[in-house]
Amino acid sequence: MTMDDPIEQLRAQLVSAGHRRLEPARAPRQRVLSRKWLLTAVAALTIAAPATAAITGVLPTGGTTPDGSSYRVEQVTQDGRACERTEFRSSAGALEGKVDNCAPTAATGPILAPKDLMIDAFNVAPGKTWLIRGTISAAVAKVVIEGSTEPVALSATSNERRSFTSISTGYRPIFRALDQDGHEIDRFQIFVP
Amino acid sequence: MQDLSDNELLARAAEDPEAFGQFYSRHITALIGALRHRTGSTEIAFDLAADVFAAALERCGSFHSDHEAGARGWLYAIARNKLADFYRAGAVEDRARQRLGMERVALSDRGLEELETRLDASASDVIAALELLPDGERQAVSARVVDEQDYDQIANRLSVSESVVRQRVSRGLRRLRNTVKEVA
Repeated sequence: MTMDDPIEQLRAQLVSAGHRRLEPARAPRQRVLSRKWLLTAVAALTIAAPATAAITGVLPTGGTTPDGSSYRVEQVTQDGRACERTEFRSSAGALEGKVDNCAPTAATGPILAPKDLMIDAFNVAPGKTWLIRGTISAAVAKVVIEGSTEPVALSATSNERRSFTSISTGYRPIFRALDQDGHEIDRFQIFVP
Repeated sequence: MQDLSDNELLARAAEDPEAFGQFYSRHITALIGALRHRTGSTEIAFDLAADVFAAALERCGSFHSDHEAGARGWLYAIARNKLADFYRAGAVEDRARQRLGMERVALSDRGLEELETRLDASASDVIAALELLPDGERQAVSARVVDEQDYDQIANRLSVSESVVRQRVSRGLRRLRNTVKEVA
């Protein structure tokens, strides 16, 4: 490797950045976490069927992030099954997204949604087919599935909100919500075990 | 780690940054070459490639080893989006790189020369340029030119008419020819 080899310089930076990303995962529970890391960490978890609150012990039960938003993890029992519900709220208290593995159907993974896109219903069939319905704000012009060439079909329910339904089979589809300029509005992932 | 497939490397990358480094080493040259074909500039291509790999590092936690497109296809899907952003904005958007706290790697004259020598010696950049065609053209050109399938076979598989396939092959080849000519 020469000092002027840009390819090696970039490689070193990427590996270093990768190591830095791993460090927060080993941080003590009391540490104030960035929301972005929290969403990334939750999205990376696998929840096996039946759901046994596998994320307990990894996620803190609640706290605030440097941008003033907050999150809360609630242990709940539904249909005799222990599961967890996590809510993310803005500094003004508005619900921005939620993680919910309390669905009565086969085990589901974390579902995260940015404030402009709310997930209303989620279903996983035994063959790992997922069906998702949700609504989007006017800021979202298009919803696409990463790797797909076709956007998810949207239908108008009001001037401000539109609904979408999508069904497919496959592992870990990643939805991207885009605004009118094609810029991404906070990524989120649907995680299917 | 040298013996691991691309899919295996990427599946490990979220917990093993060295695995990501290996994946990067395998694909960086071809990717820069492909982006250079499309943008006509080695410097722009390098900056774009940096943000593509930064975005890939951010998202590698969601990659599964049985991903339909494979690790390479997954990487080039990110590259196509970054290229679309570049054309739309008229500049390289490096949000992923900034989010990871990475400094921009500035290309010195010597570094640029070294990079171009490596790119010119690489035989894989034209094949990689194929990956950056729009989806329909890429599928049609790959099937016709690389896999030597007949037009009617391709039409059946893609669920389009034969004339559409012929158009896509023609446009795709013309686009590849033009980009290669620009660099030359």
